[in-house]
Amino acid sequence: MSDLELEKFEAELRNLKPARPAEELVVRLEAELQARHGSGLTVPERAAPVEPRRGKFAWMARGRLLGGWFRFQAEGTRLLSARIFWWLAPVGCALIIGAVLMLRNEGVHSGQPGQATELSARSTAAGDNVEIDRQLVAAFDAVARLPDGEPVRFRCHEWVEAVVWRDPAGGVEVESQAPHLEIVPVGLETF
Amino acid sequence: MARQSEWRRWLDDQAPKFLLFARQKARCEADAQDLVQEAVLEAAGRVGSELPPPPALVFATIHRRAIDWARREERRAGRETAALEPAMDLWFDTDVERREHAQLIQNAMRRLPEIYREVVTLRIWAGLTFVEIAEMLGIPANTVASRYRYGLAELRKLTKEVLA
Repeated sequence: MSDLELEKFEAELRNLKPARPAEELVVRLEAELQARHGSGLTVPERAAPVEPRRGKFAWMARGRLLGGWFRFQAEGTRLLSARIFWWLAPVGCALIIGAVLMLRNEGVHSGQPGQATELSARSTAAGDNVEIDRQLVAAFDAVARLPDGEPVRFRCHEWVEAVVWRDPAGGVEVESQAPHLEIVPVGLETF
Repeated sequence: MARQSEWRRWLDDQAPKFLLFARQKARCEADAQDLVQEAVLEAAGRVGSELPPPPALVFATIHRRAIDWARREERRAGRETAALEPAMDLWFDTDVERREHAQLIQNAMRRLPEIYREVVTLRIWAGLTFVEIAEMLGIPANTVASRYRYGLAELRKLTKEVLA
C-alpha cells in the first residue's frame, strides 16, 4: 500500500464520525459529573475556553481569555511575580476605603460647624459595614516541562477578592474587586 | 433556553469517541456504555476539581477497565453469554447514502486484530498522537506507528475483499 493510498484511505476513514451515544447515557453522566465536580467551570488544554458560571465576574473571564498567559506559560519569573504580589489586592482595597473615609471626613469638616460633629460621627465605618468576600472564579491545571523533559503540573486557582463597604446612613457603597492567582505545584505526573 | 453546562459540551464532543473505543472492547452495548460511564467518572475523580479530564486519560481508563472486565469474564465464562445481545448499534453517524459504507468499515474493523484496531481507532477517531497512544498502551511509539500502518493496510484489504 503506497503512502498516497494510505493517506487517501485515512482521509476516507476520518470522514466517518463516531456515533453519538444514547441521550440517556449523556444525561446520566452529566448529572453524575455535576453532582461530584460542579458545573465544569474550565476546560482542559487545547479545548475551547468557556464562560464562568457567575455573570457578576464575566469581566474576569474575559480578562482571563485575553491574558491567559498563565495557563500555558508556567515560567519561573511569572509564577514568582504572582506569588510575590498577591498581597496587592487586599492592601489596595484597604487604601481605597481609607481614602474614601478621609475625603468624606474632610467634606464634613469644611461644612457648617454645628453639623460637623454629628455627620462625622455618622460616617465612621462600623465593622459590620465592611464585607470581605473571596470567590473562586476558575481552577485549571498548567503543565510545564523541566529541561530534561519531565512534566510538572501546577494547579492554578483564580480568585476574586471583593471588599464592600456600606454606609446605609450616608447612602454610600464602595466596592473593590481584585483578581488573585494562586499556583501550587502538585507534582510530577504522566498520562 | 438554559445554557448547557460545560460538562454537557465536553460530553457532546468526547463521549462519541469514548463510546466507539469502548464498543470495541466490550461484549455488548450495555457493557460499552457502563465502561464509558465508569471510566469518565474515575478519570474526572483523579483529576479532581471542576476540570474535565484529558481525553487520553479517559481512553487509558477505558483500556485498563476493559482488561479487568475481560479477566473477570474469563472466570465466569459462558455463564451469561447466552443472554447477551451481540448486535451493537452502528459505530458511525452517517447519512443514508454512506450507511452501507460505514457498515462495511465497521465489519472490517471487527475482523481486524485488536492490537491494530485499538491503534487505528485512537489515532483516527480519538485524535491521539502516537506518543499519547504509546504512553496509554505502554508500548514504544515506533511500535504504535507500525501497528497503525499495518492496521490501515489490513483494514483496506478487508474492505476490498468485501467489495470484490
